[in-house]
Amino acid sequence: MKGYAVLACAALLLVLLAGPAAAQLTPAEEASQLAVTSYTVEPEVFMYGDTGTIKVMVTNTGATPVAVSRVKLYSNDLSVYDDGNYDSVGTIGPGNSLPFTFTVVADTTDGIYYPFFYVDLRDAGSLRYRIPVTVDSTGLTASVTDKPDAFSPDKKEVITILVGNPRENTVNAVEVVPVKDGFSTVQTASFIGTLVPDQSAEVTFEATPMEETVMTFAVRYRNGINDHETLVDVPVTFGEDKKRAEIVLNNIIVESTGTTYMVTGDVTNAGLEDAKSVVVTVAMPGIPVDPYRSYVVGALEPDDFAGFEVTFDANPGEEVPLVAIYKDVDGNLYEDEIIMTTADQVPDSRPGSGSEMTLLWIGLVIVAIAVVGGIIFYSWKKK
Amino acid sequence: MGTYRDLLVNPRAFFDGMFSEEKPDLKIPVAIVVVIALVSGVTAMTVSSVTAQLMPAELEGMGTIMGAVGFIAAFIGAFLMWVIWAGLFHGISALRSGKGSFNNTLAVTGYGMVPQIISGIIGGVFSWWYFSGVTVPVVTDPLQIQAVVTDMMATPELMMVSVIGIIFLLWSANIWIFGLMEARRISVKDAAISVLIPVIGYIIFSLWQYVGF
Repeated sequence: MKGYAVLACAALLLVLLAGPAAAQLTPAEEASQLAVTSYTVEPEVFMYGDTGTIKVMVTNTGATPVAVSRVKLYSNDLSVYDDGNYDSVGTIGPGNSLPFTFTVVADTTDGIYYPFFYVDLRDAGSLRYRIPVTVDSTGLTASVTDKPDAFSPDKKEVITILVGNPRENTVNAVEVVPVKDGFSTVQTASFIGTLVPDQSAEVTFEATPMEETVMTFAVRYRNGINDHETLVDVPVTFGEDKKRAEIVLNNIIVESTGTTYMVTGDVTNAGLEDAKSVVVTVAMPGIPVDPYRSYVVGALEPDDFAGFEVTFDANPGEEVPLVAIYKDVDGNLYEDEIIMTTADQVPDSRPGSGSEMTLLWIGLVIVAIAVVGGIIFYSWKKK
Repeated sequence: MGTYRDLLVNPRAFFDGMFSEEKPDLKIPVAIVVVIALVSGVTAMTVSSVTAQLMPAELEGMGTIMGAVGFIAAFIGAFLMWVIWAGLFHGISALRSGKGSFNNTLAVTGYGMVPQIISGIIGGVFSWWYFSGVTVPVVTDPLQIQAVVTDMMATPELMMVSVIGIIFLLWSANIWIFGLMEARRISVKDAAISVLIPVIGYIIFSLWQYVGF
């Protein structure tokens, strides 16, 4: 029994002696217990001027607590803001982890930088760790993949814009917004969302230019918490729309209806787009009269044709424009016209309408008056 | 009774003694009116044929019918005009103490229509010439036909034809005055009144029609 008591006392002594011996680690041993187990850079790739964060996870891998005096992030190239958050940290227990987050502003040129993560231990010793941070100011690309060959005033056209992400990190909240100046669009904006590296997305706008201008579309996106913008320009120069409906008037026949004229003919759509609400009439100096002041043909598909007839008044010999008015699908009004001449149509198609015939008739009446007057005079004189 | 040349240039001599018999011979007056009726009929047929061209294509067959109707109407119209003229002359002269029979007045009126054969031929020839060369407009609305026809008629050339018709009507009136004087045994003045009242009325009516256009 006495032997057991001696053994127990020896064990207790061993325990009491071993405790103070373990708490008395050297600074190098304490530092070796701490490890940077992970770090996160957000955004993954900075652009010039971006504000982001660097989050470092420090873990006590040892069996004894480690007292940390302060934690710093140093960089000669990036601006670091910690507001003294980590000037007095405390102790990290064995097996515990502690995150440290620093705000970083990439106010430097493109490149890869290595800010210096420093953990100052209270009992001397420290932990140092370099964290790579990439700054790449390459923005999203935007290009026009489809637009009309030529614009027309107030005519709606479709414009397609391709947005690509050539960056190494994902950007989000991507949207394309028209910057309106001299044009209007049906869509106020087109949202794409997230674009992973090397991904692209297309958006279309129905744009109507009012004047010759430069249509600008802004591609707006976020890199982390930072807003960025890329502009793409579409120059607008008015010209002949090669695809628009083209109205041709032919087989024109002008006939007299007495004091007025009737013109008949064919109206053909020789363009590549539909012509809507086609109306044929005459312009000044011709004056449209009943019954067909205007002839409504209606819609004409490409290569389609229809007959028409228009009645109008004009002086003989006048050149009268025959006008075809039509609309495109957007309601824009167009006019095509040809010039008719009534010169050889009807001063009158009747025989004897010239001045010579008028004189002949006047002469005939005078002769008739003379003959009949003479006879009457003779009959009354004769007894 | 004078010669037929006298009928035109010296009607006083032509009608002198014609109505001494009880019943005047109406064969010649009827023949004169028949000639006028034929000439009027042909003219009316020409005008009707042109008017028929205004009809829509599906009514193209109406042209012949319209021509025939025009001819018949003008033919009958000539006889009606003969009777109407005679009736007016007889009625007015009766108010001026006229005494002869209505047959006498009919005969005088028929003879007096000879100048209208000449004006009818002139008008017919001109109508044929005019309407055969006229460009007939395309009229798709039947309601417009009347307006187009009116428009075609309201031309200076056709007015000249009417003026010539009026001149020859005055020639007829001259014959009627001398004839009525004999047929109704009235003075020249009464005969002139009896003839000129309806004739001037007719002339005013004709001119008013053109002014109305």
